[in-house]
Amino acid sequence: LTKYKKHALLIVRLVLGILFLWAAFYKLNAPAEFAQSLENYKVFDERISRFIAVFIPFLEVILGIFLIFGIWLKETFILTVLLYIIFDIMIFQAYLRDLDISCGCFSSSSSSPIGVAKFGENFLLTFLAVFGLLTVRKIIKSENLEPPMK
Amino acid sequence: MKKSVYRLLVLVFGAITFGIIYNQLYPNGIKWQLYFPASIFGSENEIAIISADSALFFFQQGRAGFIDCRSKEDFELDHIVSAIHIPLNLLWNDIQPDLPSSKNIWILYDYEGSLDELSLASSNLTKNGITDVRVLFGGYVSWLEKNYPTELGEYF
Repeated sequence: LTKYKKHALLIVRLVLGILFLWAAFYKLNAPAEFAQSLENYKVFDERISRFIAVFIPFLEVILGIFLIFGIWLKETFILTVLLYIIFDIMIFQAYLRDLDISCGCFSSSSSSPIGVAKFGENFLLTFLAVFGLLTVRKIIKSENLEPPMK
Repeated sequence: MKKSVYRLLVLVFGAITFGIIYNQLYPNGIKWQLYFPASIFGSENEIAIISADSALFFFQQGRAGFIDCRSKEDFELDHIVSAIHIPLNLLWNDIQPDLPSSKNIWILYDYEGSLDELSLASSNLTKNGITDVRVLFGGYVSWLEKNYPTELGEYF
């Protein structure tokens, strides 16, 4: 694995980790508003939206901390990729259905409306998460191939 | 592989556990009753329902007051005459609202009378000493359908 990739992985971890913590901060302060944002996507009913709004912020906090400190990186990246794919699908379906809603990702305001820009932004983050997962898998594989220390 | 599955489960269930505990303790949190149907709570959350006709009757007698549980924006557009605005998420959180003692019946309403949500608000008010709390059947829509008195909010 090149030194360049290791540095890139560190940057990806920090970027995604900080973004997760930032996103979680608003959601933890206003859980009801976040639940309403989820309901606005018209995918889940109000009860399921509320339940998701209860645990997603904490999942983001845990993933954020684990990414920043490099704990359980493979599993953390698996969940990060899954989470971003779900976010992508949610945003994309809202865009296709022409729903006039805000993303609800970092704040409840209408400053982040659903559109091509938002989808592109999220797609980039998904790409970073996939890069992180593949790189971490390579590191784990290469470490397993090395002979044990005597 | 097995270790990974175990770790994934720890992360997900950890988030769910922390989330539920945090929301129970945080004053503006989403209480756990709100993600299950009200029917599973049994008699504790049973609510008294009142029709728009009866609500108007008690209101005209001066015995009943209305609590509007819709959003602030909706309330500022229009609401039932002399209704007090208390958003639902505040009522879910065991607050003790300062209600005028001149009324002995308090009628909660939202837009279309979501009984599950209003039942928790109603039982919280009852717990806080307001003895006669009822929910307007059909919500604000039923009131409008009957052309009963409303007033414009601050928006106008």
